Amino acid sequence: MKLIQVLSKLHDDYCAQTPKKLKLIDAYLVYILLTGIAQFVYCCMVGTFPFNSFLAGFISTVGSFVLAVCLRIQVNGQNKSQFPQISPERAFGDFIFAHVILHLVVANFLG
Amino acid sequence: MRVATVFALLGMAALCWSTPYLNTYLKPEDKQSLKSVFTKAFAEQQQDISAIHHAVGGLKFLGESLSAQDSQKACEIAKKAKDTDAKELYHAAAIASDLPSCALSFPKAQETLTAVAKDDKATSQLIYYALAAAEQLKVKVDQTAFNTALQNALKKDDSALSLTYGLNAAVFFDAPTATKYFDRIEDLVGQADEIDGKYLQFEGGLSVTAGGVYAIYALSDKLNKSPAVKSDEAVKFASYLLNRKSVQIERAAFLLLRALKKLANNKYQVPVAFTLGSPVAVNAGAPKVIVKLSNVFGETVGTLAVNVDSATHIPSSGVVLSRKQLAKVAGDNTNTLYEFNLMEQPRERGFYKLSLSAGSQDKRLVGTNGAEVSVKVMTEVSVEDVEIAVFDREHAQATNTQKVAPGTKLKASLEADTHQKVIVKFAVKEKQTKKAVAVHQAFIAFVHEKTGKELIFVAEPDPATSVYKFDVDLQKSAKDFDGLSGKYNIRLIIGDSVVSNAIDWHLADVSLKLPAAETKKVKKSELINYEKLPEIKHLFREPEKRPPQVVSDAFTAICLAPILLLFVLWLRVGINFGNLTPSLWTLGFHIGLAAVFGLYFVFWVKLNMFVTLKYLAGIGGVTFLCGNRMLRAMADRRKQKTE
Repeated sequence: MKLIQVLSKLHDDYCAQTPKKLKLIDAYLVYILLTGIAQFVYCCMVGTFPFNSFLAGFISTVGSFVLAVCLRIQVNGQNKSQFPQISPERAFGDFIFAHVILHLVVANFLG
Repeated sequence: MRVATVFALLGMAALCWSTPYLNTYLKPEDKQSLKSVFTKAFAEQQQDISAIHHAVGGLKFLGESLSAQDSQKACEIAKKAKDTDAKELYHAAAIASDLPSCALSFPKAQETLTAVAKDDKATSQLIYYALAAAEQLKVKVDQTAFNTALQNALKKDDSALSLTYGLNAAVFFDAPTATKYFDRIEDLVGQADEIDGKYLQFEGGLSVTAGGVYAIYALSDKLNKSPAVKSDEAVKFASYLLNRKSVQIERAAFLLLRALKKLANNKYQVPVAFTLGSPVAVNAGAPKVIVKLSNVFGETVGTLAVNVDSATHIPSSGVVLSRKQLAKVAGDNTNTLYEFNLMEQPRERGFYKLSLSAGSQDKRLVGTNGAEVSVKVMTEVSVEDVEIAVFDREHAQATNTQKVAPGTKLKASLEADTHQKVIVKFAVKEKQTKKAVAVHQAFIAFVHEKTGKELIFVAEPDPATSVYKFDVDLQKSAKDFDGLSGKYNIRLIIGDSVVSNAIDWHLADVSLKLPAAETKKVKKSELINYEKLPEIKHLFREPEKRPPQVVSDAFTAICLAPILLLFVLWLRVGINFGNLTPSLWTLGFHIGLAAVFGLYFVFWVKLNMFVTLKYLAGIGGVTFLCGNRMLRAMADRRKQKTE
């Protein structure tokens, strides 16, 4: 019972206190996570063949997830003290740039 | 005892060092082979005047005449000789003299030949060529100058080769000058090497020996003096020359024939060849031995008194006949054949050595003593008392022996297995005398009827009774039969070099039951396979199993589904485009980003990395610029707001 209370409290606090920007990023993270899980399940159930395609897809999801987490950390107002030099725009630019590089590799792996 | 030993040794020594004799002559087939050497050289070496000379000369020695066309051809070649070269002049002159009509004219011949005598470095060979050419071209040369030149040449080089040409050259001098060279014959013969006590040759082989022998007799004939050559030596020279009659080089063949002609016809020493004119085998039906006595060319050397000094039976060393005169063969046109009857009395089978000698009024004949020819007396044998038995190997004696009548096959078929032995006994006897004979070859062959596989055993005679006995223990020999069971023919095979009727007699059939032999395992690498191997075809790697279409489609959908969730969540959070400032940079950035991902898609579908990077540099550059401007503008606005 307590667990439900704790969880619902957590949900309410999250809805109330988290900025909209971060919520958008969180939604994106959930989406990436689910896609990655779906890929992993496929790999476990059916097999890794063709391995390069699996690898490309999985790298894409894992990479995107990591990049999105980085973006969230840098954009979060509470972490401002840790990244005084980095503006949210700069963080977003890095995020885009890293994606371009990442997906070049992914496209290369796709075969 | 000791005296006997000494005599025996002396006897052996006498055998080893017996007087040499000539046991062959130039037979028609040898002449044919020499003829083919010459015709081949004539046909194939038209450019070589030396080859043409030797071919034409050699054919003339053999009594073969050239066709008119070939004579014409040879004459044309002679005419083309360079008259500034003494050697070519020599060959050309020799060709012309061998042809019926071939007139040569060499304007510079006189000059060329005279120059040879004045040349300090002229070898005896060159001097010989010059003198021979001068003789045949009827060119007058200064004999004194040539004599001096030849003396000098021989002083510088007194090898067999040089002496040979020196003596050959001396033949062309007038008698008083030539006499000065007569003593050199002894020097030359002294240089001869003896081989096996049978042959004499000069260093340099056939051409030097043949040239030397010719020169010795040609010079002796010219001076009417007997050469310093012992009769043994003459025979050994002749033996050597005849031993080389299969020579294939036209020059050596020409010199060989020239020397043999001289040995057959000169004033001092004519070697006599003793050869067998009848088959080696003598028996009661053909009892006569015919001996041919001839010169080296197989021609008559006049009527001779020929004797068999002794006839020795080689296996027993017993002398069976001594001092018997041979009669001339009636109707012999060649006047070379002599015969006698060896089988006047019954002779024991085996090889006989006949020692022959010949006497003649003709003092020139040499090698007429101590000649030997071999003949063999053949006999017929019969196989008798043939017994065959199959019995238990534990028993010492055969129990159910069966006799086989001569020339027939045992009617009953025998059977044997590994517990038994097969035994065959027989006696080989001379047909006439019924004496037991030990033959060279007495075999029992087992021939498998179906496969034709043969197994041959040697039958040994019992030393006491001379009865041949053969037995095979099937248990021990099973592996020799390769474990092959079935019907075998037993054959008896008898052969000997002095038995005229070899025997191959199918004695009996026997069915053998043998345990199958273990087949040996042969490693694959050691196996020899002559069969065609299957063709090697390239195999592509088999693709791995793919999941059914439904499964992959379903998962594609599942992987795409979260994007819907993303939109749903975004809408719930309240997504808006309020921050989107309408400017060129914003537009450029979004289009650029879309273009980058579009490029990746094309990269995936068909481009390669290099092309992709080239496009990416352009698109990425523009996108980066636009993005930079757009984000800076946004940052500026945010700062203004907070201030």
